[in-house]
Amino acid sequence: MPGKGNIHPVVVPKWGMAMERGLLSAWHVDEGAPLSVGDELVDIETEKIANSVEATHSGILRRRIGTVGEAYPCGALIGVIAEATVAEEEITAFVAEHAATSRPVSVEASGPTPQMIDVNGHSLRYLTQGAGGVPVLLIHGLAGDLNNWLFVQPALSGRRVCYAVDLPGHGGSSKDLSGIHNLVDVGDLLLAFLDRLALDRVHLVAHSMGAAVALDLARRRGHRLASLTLLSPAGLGVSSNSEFIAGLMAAGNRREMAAVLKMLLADEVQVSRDLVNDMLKYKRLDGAEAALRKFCEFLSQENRSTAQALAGVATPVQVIWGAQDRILRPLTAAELPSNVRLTVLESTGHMPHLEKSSRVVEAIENWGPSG
Amino acid sequence: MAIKSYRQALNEALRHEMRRDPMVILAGVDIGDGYTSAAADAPGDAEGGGVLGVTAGLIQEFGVARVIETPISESAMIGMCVGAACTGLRPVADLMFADFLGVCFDQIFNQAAKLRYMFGGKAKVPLVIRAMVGAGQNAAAQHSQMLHSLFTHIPGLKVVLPSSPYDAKGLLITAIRDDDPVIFLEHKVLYDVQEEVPDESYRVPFGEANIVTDGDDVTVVAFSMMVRTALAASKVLEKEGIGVELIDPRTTSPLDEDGILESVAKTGRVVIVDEGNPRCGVGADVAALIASRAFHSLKAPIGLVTAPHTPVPFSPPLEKAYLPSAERVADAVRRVMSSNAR
Amino acid sequence: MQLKTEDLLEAYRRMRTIRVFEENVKSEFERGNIPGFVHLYVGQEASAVGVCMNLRDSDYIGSTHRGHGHCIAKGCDVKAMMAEIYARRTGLCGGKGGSMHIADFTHGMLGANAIVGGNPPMVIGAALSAKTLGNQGVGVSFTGDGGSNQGTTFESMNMAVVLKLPAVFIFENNGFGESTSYDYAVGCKDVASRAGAFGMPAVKVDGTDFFAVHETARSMIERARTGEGPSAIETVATRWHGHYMGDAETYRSKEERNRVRRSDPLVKFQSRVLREGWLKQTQLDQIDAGVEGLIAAAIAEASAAPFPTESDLVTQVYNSYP
Repeated sequence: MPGKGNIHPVVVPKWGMAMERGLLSAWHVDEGAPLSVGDELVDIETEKIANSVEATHSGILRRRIGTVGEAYPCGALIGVIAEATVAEEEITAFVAEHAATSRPVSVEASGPTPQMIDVNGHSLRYLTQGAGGVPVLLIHGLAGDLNNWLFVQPALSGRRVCYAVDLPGHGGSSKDLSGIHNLVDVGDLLLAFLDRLALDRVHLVAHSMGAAVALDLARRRGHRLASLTLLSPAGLGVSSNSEFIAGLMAAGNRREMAAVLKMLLADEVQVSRDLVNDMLKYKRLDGAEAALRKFCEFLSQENRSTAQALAGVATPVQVIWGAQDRILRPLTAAELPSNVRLTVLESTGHMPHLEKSSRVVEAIENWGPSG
Repeated sequence: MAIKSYRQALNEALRHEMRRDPMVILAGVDIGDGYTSAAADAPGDAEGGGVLGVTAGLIQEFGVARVIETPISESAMIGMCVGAACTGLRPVADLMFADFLGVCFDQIFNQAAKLRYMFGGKAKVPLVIRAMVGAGQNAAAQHSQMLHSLFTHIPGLKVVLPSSPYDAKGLLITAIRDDDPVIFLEHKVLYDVQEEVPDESYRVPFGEANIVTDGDDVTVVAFSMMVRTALAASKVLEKEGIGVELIDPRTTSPLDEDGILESVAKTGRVVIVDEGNPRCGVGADVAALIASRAFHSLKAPIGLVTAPHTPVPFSPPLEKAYLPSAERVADAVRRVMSSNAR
Repeated sequence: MQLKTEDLLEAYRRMRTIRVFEENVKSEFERGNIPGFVHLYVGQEASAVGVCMNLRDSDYIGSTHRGHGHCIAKGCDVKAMMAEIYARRTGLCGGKGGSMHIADFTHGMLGANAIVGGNPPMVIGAALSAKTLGNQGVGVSFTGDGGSNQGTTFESMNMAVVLKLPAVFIFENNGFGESTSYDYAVGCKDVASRAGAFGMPAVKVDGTDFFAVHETARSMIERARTGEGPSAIETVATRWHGHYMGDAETYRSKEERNRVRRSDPLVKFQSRVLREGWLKQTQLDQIDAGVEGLIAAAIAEASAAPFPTESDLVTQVYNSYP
């Protein structure tokens, strides 16, 4: 919902297609507290994960409307930010107006839905948000899919078009990996995808195994990339936690899958029933397990050192890592060339784009798209 | 992925499996809407497919050799499918109404269920028998029963009761790929329920319950259409501050005993909701399981909500009273919440 | 059609095996060495063997509770059969089926069936498989005069005609459905005419005459193989013994029982082959001796074999669970 000049609403965001409402689980500030941009205001929980809403403007939290423990539809007003100088009556009128005119964002009214595209005999699913500018392309990691970007894609698409794609064998893309024998082939398929969409040059943001693919593209087709942001990257000389990968392949029920997925996050409590179920449902798709197994093989073939991985890469590269990543040990600044910016996030595991999404968005914004 | 109905989800499962495996055949009355025997000048019905449309389009795609329309002869039809199953084919028989099990039950419980065991493991019967169950459409006593309890009682059979489109497709795919005889019971009231269902084929395993909602106060175990009834009750109860953990076992044989017991260990209170008749039913079976294996977790007596010990009545107000309602489920939950065994 | 020497020998060997097997099972049962029920096929040997000599290993047959004869005629392992009847772990079904559920899918034997009328639907299913797989296989159902009255039998005949399945229905009229005489229980003239009314060719033959059975079955089975659809054969051969071992047989007189034994299929076969000069007495004697030895060995081995263990109780209910 729009603000009114100097009055700024705090609303329940819509993270991902399926989100209809969020549970307000904690306030971090009191009514009347002074705020700077980026301050954490409130924690919202969905069935998939919890995240916090941050102040989009500086000022005072003039109204704290949402109650802890209550669920609100996406778009609902839960707070109001304005400078101290704004009159009380105006704030009151604003709140009343919002109550009268706002509607919760329903699933039907939600924006874009994923589309399918045929690329070289493979059917790829992708989601487009936003418009204009130099495009951003988001690539998930092993066993992930475009939904991994549910906190990041909406934020980035405010200022330019943003694509999230399901790698072959993953998500809603076709599971038959004929013709794909290694990560280079995956990279080539993504280039063909970009060609089909007539995207000459993109800011590439890639997570984990997706980062290994991205690095290969940066080495071979760097001219197609405006910038490279690697999250918890494989392919940079750190080997993956084999216990995790074995566990992921073997997990056949809720209990086993929950135990494996706990390794992904710094805060284990965040592994929700839906997260576990979604992973099980993916694995039970025909061909998914076979595809996963192949990708594990591809990944195991990737053993370049950090220096080798970055050799000849001219694209500006930044790396974001969670300090508590148990899948891929975070590199230190000393282990990376000086022109590679490293951001290590505290209290963050292997999924910074889920655990600290606003920091990730911030890092992308001030590295790639503006640069 | 798209929004599909329970009926469409089942149709997709049949279609995908028939495309994937040439040994899969269908047999039953009217499954092609009389295509096989239609007069040359009959208009035909490309949209049709059985009494409630699940087999639509299949006889047109796969032909009369794989979609076999039979005379009304359940014993011969089911028995034929048993024989075909143990000699190389993978039949999916359409019994139409589970109430018809009476005229072919020998083929199911004495033959299909027992061949593997009686023959020392040397036979296998990869047969699926699909049938409609349940009340709610004023179809009266001989077309409205659940009868899942009778099947569940028989060693050698597997019994499946999907409550949603996603589950229906995945469970039917699993059933067709399973090498044991599977009784697949579709609740007639659920055919038009819609939900996101992947376009691809996927499995939903047997013996794994679906936890529909998480809750800390009371476990509700419900089957087939009663899952939706219990879900409606849980929404009302949520407003009263009662957190319901709703469990849909999806299959009664095998039954996810650990899943149920884990939940009861957490909440200490349980209500079981079953549309079947109360004597010797699955509800009583689960109650006995909980009483014998989770007794010390219980804070209240086990609640059991079922139909009465009567046939299904015809008249709408009577049928409404027959079926467990959301209010009755909510009342049962309130009772176990306010009761304290110790 | 003239049979080759080796086929005549084989036919005699199978019939003699059935006779000796059954008579020994009878005496072993009377000694208390066999648990449960047994239903003996003595006097009906030509029916099973006359039909089964026309079948391949991969063709399927279904049988009744009186299934030992069909099993042997179809080529099942005699020693494993005996062990099964003796309830041992080495039996054809691991000791889990017994006399009334003897089966061997490797020889196309879909099993003895303890439910009267239980096998015809399954056999038409085997016929459906053969038709669908296009392998010119057939399904042959053995049913008694009692079973011919069951709804499942009627339904199967109609279904086989409607779907034009490669099935042959053999109705073995042995005089009695349990203790009820067939001419009381079968309302119409005979079983063959009733089968004919379902829309298939149906003939009646002397079930004690191997050659009559064999020739009739040959043409009906050939019919089925070439896609012309189902047919029925009523073979008349009264059983010698009671419905089950222990049956006091108060439903027929001693004179009647003695009269029946004068129509011995083995004696008829021997007379014919010797008279026609197709076989010599020495050949028949040699077979007799061999069979006696085989059955004696079968009994000795079965008696010494281990029973199933308690852990066998809960296995093989399912292929996988869940």
